[in-house]
Amino acid sequence: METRFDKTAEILFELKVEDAMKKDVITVGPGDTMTMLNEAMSKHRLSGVPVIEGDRLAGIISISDLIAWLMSGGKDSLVKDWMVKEPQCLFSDQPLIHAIKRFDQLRFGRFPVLDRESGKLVGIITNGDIILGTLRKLEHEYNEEEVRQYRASHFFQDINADRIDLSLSFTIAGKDFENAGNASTTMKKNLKRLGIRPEIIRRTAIASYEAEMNMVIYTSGGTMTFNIDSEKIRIVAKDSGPGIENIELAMQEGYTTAEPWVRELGFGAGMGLPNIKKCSDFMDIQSTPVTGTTVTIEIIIGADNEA
Amino acid sequence: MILQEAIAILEAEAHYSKAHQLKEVIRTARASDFMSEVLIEDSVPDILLTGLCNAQVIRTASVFGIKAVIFVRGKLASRQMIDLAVQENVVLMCTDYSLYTSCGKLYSHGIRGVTEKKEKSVSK
Amino acid sequence: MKLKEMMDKLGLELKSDSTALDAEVQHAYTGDILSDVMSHAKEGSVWITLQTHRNIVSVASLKSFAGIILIGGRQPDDDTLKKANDENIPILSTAMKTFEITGRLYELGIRG
Repeated sequence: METRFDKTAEILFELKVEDAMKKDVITVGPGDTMTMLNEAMSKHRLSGVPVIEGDRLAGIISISDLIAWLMSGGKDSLVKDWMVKEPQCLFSDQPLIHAIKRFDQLRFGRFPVLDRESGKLVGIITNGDIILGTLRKLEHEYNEEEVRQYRASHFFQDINADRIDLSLSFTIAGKDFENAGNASTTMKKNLKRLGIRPEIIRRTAIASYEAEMNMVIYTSGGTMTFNIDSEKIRIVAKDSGPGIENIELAMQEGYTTAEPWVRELGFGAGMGLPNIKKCSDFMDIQSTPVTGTTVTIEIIIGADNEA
Repeated sequence: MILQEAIAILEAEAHYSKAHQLKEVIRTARASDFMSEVLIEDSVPDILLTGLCNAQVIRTASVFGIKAVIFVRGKLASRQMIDLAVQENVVLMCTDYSLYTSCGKLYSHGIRGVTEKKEKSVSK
Repeated sequence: MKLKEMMDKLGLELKSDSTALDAEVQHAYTGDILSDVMSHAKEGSVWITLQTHRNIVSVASLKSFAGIILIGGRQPDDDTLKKANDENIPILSTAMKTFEITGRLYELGIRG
């Protein structure tokens, strides 16, 4: 299971500086007076203000610079005489984890954020913004997860009917090795959404995947249908031939009729059908040379599925 | 060890969707060129090393719940395989070492084979 | 390292009637795809595989392998065994799986 901490660490990699920074930045010019700056800072409760000349960042001035000015007597003076020139900046597209490292290294209270392409100021970020941004994202993901879990665990209860039978069908192309397995991995995701227990999903996915690979490798294609009700998952894999000559033999571990090309691709070791049997609670094969093969697989979901 | 260390040991190129995947702790491995041979076992290894290089290796890992697959001997994953790995949340690694050497290096750094719960019946 | 010494250290079981147990194990190769083995394994290798088909003896003979190790307790097919005896290729067997036996052999100092 993923812990909350992992989740937070992950978010710090996923979020960009621009996701957490403040975008409407109050700025001053280098020619503004320190008195003006003092008023602006106290009015907006700012601890630091970027200094902009034209559309370039000329410097940054913080509350400590303001205090230094006041201590020196607070005489008429200009921002450019007190600001920090060429300040350290972050780019808006950098991961948030990078910003945290910079705060840690340099112990600054804030960083101006520039657009990497244009070099223009697009925001400002403080440690507090990072915490807020991360919390917002965590909360958002948590809510999404809760909704998803609710939806999943109540899926069958919430539907009122005498019998619920969810049916999904996939067309499987024969000899299309590249896309083979797509139906099974898609179904695995669908079952996850339905809130089915992981162990049941795993057995279903493996049985389904082996059946799908068999269809792709040995037949000219067919369909796979998944029926899910509150008790079991039923997979019907039906192909259009050529059929299995000796089912009993085919069920033996290690028995194979695979051509060399199949074995070169890592399949055809004679494990497919035995593995389906191992993963399923019920398995049936019907096969004739005319109608092809139908493999029916059932996996019991079990009563303790309410996770 | 964590996946990041395995990548360093094998001097591998890695493809993944989320950085935290590289922090996953790995203890066990399987090596096989036959995917059904992997799928029929009860125990799930953390990583799978194989001389194959096709989409089915990634699907096998996804279906079985294996965290990472390692393509050996300089085989390069195609764009589609990389996309599939990202989509299925499987870390894809490519190393120039052979299957023998890759297994050997990981083993000598403490990775072990999966322990089987029971003796498998032997097929003739 | 001689094949006999390797067998003792790894607890391998001899399946064929081979007498070539003094052969020097110079390299090792792990893999199940015959064409890969043909094109990449070095002569004098011991070969770790899950394949039991008699074609493995042809490959081992063509590549002058010191021996074949079958993994997971696998037994060679009857005609594989017959061919191995004809060609004097030692077939060994271990209960270990590919990763484990490969790792153990690597730890004995055999390189690929």
